[in-house]
Amino acid sequence: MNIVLYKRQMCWSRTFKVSTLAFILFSHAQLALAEWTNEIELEYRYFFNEPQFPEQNRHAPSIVYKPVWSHVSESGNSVFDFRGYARYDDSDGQRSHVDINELTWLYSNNGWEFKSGIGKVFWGVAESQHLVDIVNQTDLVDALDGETKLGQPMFSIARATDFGTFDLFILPYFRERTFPGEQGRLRTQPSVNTDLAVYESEDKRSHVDFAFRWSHSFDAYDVGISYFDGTGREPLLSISEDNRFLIPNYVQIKQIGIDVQATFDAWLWKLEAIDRSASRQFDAQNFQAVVAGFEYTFFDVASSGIDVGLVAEYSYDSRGESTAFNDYSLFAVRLAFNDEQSTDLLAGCNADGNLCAIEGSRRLGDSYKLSLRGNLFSGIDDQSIFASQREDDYVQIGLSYFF
Amino acid sequence: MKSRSHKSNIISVHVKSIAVLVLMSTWLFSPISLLAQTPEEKGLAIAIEADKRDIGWGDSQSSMLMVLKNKAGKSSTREVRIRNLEVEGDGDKSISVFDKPADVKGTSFLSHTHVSIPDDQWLYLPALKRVKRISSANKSGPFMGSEFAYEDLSSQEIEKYKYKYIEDDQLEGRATFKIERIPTYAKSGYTKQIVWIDQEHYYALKTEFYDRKGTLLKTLIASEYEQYLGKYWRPGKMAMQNHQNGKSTDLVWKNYQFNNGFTDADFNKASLKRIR
Repeated sequence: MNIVLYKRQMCWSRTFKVSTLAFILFSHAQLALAEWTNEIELEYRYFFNEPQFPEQNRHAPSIVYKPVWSHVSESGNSVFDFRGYARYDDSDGQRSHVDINELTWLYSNNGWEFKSGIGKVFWGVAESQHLVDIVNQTDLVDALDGETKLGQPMFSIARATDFGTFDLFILPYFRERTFPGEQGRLRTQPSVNTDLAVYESEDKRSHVDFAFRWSHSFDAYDVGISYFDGTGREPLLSISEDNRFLIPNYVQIKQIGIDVQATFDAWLWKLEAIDRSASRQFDAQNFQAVVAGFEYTFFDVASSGIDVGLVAEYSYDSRGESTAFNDYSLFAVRLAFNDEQSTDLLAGCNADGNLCAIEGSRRLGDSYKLSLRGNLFSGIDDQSIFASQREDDYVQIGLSYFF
Repeated sequence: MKSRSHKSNIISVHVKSIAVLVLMSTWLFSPISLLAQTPEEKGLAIAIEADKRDIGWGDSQSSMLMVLKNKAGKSSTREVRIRNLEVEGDGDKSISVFDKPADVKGTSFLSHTHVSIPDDQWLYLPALKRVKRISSANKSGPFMGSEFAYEDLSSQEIEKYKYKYIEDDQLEGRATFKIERIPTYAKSGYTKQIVWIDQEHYYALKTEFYDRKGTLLKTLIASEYEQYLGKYWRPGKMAMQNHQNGKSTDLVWKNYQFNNGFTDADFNKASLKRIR
C-alpha cells in the first residue's frame, strides 16, 4: 500500500511537470479562445454481498477530477487540447491513478491533419464491446465496461479525400492495462499484479507500434477498415510461480479490423470484425472475432418526447469459452427522456440473464449531474470466467460538479 | 413587322425580350397577383418566393442562446454555436457545437440535410472521442429538452409541405399572408401549421403548430429580423410558447457572420472531431 502511494506521488509530480510545461507552451498562443472546464465527481459504490476474498470491502467511495482545456489558434489551423484524469479510491490503491487522457497539438490545413502528443482515438460502432478500437489501452479500474481509455502517445497524419479519410498512427510508447488490486472488487482470482508485466518484444513499452485506418461515409453507410501492428493491448494472463498473482503478458500482434454501420430510418445496423495474429507460442492471440447487431428507436413515444431504443448484439470469438465474448448476446433498452435534465437510462442483460447492467444519468440544475451504474451477477458457477466476481453485484451513485 | 427596317427589327426583338423579362420577373417576384388561382397554388407560390429570396447566402455562422422556461418561470440556458453551408440543389449542411450546459460542453452535431432522402446526422462525444452516426427519423421529439422539436429546427425545404393560402392579414402593423401548410414527411408531430408571412420581405413572423389531434399546441413568434449582405433576413429572436404544458423556449441569435469561406471539407466527420 505504501509503495502504491509512493508511486502515485511520483505520478503526480511527473504529471505536474508535464502540465506546467504544456501550460507554458500553450500560453504563448493567444489565450482569447482558451477555456477550462473542470469536473469533480464524488462516487460511491456499494456491493450488496459480502466479499469472496477477505481483503475486499463492501463500500468503495472514490473521487475523480477531470480538467479539460482547449485552445484554437487565431487562424483556426491549430487546436491544443488537454484532458486530465485523477482518481482517488479509498478501498483499492490500484484504482487510485492519474492519467493524461489528452495533451495534443493538432494542425490541419487543406484536408491534411497532423497530430502530436498524448491522444485518444475511437474506432467502431458496436455497444456491447469495442473490437476494432485498438489504439488506446483500456482503463479497467475506471469502469469494467471498457469504455474508459488511457491516453496514448502518438504522432498521426490524416488526409480527408472524396473517397474517404486515411489515418496513419505512429505509437512510440505502450500503456499497460489497469486492473483492480487485491483489495478491489470486480477482480480476477488471483488478482493481476501489473508490476510483474512481461513483454514479448525486447523493447517492452518502447516498442513502436503502427496503425492505419481508412474510413468513409456514403449514403446510409459508414465504413472503416483498420490495421494494427505492434504490442497487443489485451494481455494474456499467466499465473506467477508462487501462484499468488496473475501476470500480464503483452505480445506482438497484427490485427485487421472492419466496422460498418448502416443507418436506415430508425434502424442502426452494426458490424465489427477482427482477425488478430501473433507468433505461434502465443496461440491464444491467434483468433477471429465478430460483434453484430442493431439498435432500433421508437422516437417520441405517444407524443411523450421519450425515445425508447432496443439494442441487440451478438458476439462470436473463435477462442471459445475462455473469453467473455464468445457466443454472447446482449439485449438492452435505452430510454432517453429528452427532458430539460437530459435524463437517460440504459439497462441490459446477456442472453442467459446472469449478467445484467444498468446505467443512467440526469443533470441537476446547470452545473451538476447525477449518475447511476449497477451490475448484477446471478447463477454464475465455479467454472465461469466471472466466478471471482459473482458476489460483486453493486450499485454506484456519482455526483459530478462542473465548473 | 416585316416592313420594318433592320434597326427597328432589332429594337422590336429587344422590346420583345424585355417584355418577356418583365413577364418573367412579375411571375418570379409577385406570383400571387398574376398567376395563382386556387388557394393551394397561391400558398405554394408564396413558399417558392420565400425560398427564392433566400438563395445565394453561401455560408454563415452564429451563436444561439436557448432559454428554457417552465410554467413557474424558472429558466435554464443552453449555448450553441452553429455553422451553416448552403448546398445548391440539396438541403444545407450544418455543424453545431454545444458550449452549455457544462456536462455536454464540446459535444457537436453534424447534419447533411436532403430534399428527397432522409438527412444524414452524426454526433461527436468529446470525452470518448466517438463519432456516432445517428438516426434522423426523430422529427417530433424535443430538441435538448426544449419546446422546439427537431422538425422545427431542420432546414425548411419547399417539398416538405403542402400549402394553402388563407387570407391577407395584419400582424403587429405588418401586412402578412396567412397560409396553412401540412407536413408531407413521415412522423411529423403536426397535422398542420398556420404561418404569417411578411408581404414585403417574405419571412415568417408567426407560426401556429397543431398537434396530431388537431389542437393548437405551440405558437412561434420570430422577431428582431435583420438583413445581412443587403439581402438575407435572419431573426434575432424566436419565441416558442407551448399552450398545453405552459412551458416556453426562447432562441436568441447573436454574431451572425456570412462569407466565412466554408467548404464541404468543413462539414465532414473529420471536421466534426476537430471543431471546438
